[in-house]
Amino acid sequence: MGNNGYQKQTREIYQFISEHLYFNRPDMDIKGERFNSAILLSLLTALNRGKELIIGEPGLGKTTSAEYVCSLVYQFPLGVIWGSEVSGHPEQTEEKIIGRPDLGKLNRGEEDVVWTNFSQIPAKIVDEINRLPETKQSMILDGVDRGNWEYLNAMIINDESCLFATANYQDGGTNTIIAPLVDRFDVMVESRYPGANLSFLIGKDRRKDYVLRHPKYEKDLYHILKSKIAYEKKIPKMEEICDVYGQYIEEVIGVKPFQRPDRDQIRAEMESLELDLDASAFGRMLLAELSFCERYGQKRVVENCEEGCHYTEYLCHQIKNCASNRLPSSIKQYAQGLAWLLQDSEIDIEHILAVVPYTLAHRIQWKDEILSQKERSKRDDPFPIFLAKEAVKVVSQRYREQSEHLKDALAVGSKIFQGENLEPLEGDHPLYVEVKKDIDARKN
Amino acid sequence: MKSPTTPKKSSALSPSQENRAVKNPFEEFQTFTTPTGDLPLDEIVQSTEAVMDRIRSGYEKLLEEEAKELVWMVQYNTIIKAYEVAEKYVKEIGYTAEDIEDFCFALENTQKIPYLIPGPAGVYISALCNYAKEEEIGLKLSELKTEINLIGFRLPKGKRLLIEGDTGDFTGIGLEGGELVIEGNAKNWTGAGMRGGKIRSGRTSVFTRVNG
Repeated sequence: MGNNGYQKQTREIYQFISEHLYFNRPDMDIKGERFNSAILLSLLTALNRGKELIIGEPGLGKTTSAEYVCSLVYQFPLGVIWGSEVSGHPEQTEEKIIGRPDLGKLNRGEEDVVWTNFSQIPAKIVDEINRLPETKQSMILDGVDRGNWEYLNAMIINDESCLFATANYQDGGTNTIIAPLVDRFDVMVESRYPGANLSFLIGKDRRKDYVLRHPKYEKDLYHILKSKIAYEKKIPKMEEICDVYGQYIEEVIGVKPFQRPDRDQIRAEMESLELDLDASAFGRMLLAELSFCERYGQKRVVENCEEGCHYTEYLCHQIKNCASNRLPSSIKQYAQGLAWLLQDSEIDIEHILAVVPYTLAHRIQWKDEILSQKERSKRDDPFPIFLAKEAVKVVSQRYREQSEHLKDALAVGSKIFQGENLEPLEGDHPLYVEVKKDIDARKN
Repeated sequence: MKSPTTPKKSSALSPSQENRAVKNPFEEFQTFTTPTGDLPLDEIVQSTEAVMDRIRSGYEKLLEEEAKELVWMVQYNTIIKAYEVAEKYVKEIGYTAEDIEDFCFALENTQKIPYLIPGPAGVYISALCNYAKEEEIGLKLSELKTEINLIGFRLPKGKRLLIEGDTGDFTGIGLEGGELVIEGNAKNWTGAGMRGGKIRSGRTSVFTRVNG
């Protein structure tokens, strides 16, 4: 990995946001360094094209934290970010989210689309996504997943995009984000109350984010976004203005935002990082516990655990649903981002342990008895993240007790897979059964 | 700006064959081998075996020097001489009371000690007991088929030797102030020449000498 200063630049952005814009306490400890989870994970989301769900009580900086990160990582003035957000309410329409017909051309019998700012700019923010109807939630998540936005017969493709969606806790005006949709978020993080003293500080300086505004560049960008030239031709023009805005920001606040080639290089560096054996084995162990069912072949939300199952001590007995295939992708993506930021040459188990709770919290459906057992536990995190952290702790303890034997089992599995005449290693954990199943599948 | 290049893995398969080949989900663990570290229990076992080897070696040397052709006569001077030889070797070994008991068991139960000659064995065991750090030593001899002679020879003051089982002849001879308790029976010439201390044997027999 080249020493090009991008990690330092990222840390400077982190530092600026935490010291001047988004006041909060650090709540994550990684290899001796303390970070605030909301800012850190938002930075990784922005850099690595992720999708983040930010939860929290009203007024605690869910949307503003995402706005600051998007402004500094993508070099968009804050006014443009504001003007590109989609707000969640039940009457939100496809025309307000993606695009609308060009009415002037329509009158002349031509079909053309006026794309929204939201669909055009790479940094996408949806405020209170849980107030949107499910069809609109699905439409947004599809669009970000694929990078395509379609309306009438036209399509634009975003080369790079990331999504920040905020959600308040359940109240009368909100819907639940259904499981298939919430699963598509890579991470969930809480924007917490910063404490009375920091909150008072925030109240004292309500205009602190004006440093990220620039009326002239905002106007120029709006002009380009609204223009009727092809989207592909808008992109270089937008990047030109963004680069100038970036230089302005560097002069004014001493922090250098990232240009497009910088972000591409960062992503390439992140993607080149691989997991070490412990990280890989631990990840497999966790996935096995979240998906295994000896009686029914796999976890399914419609099937209940039987009494007297041999695997009652494992997570599979505490959850209802099966881990999706998006989970390992999210884990790897954010662990790569974290390892890159810490300038480590590969992803190790510490990176995995740091990010897994945030990738897991919104994806697990816990059994009612687990919820009622633990809901009164003392904690700092919201309940889903707390449960995820507790689960990860338990699995990592199990991993420490048998890591060598587990890695041995995987090594033997590899040899058998390649045709060697060996017996798979035995063990109590579901992963040993999974290894045997894969080997048997290969033989057949 | 230099773009990173991912090193390409060389493959013996053609691209179409590669596409059809089943991907090995465990491939990254192919070269993993468990490091052969010592377990704490292994270390304890190794350490105990090392001590036992040294104790055994001392006994074998005693037999070489004093029981030529495996014949040993119980006489005053042979006992003294054997004890001096035993002392010489015992002083160099770091051992515990448990090691003495293990040695007693090993006398009959391992091929590593081919000869159990009751007289020299008793002298050697007495030397081990007299030079042990512990003040109180318990030896379970009830499972031995052979009754060992000369147990408790020159047991010094401040030491207490508790024997579970029967002992042979000359038990506690030359006792030098220690306390010898035999939860069983002793044979002939028990306590002969004791200079001080106490011998208790079975339920009733008590031998006491106050002054040397």
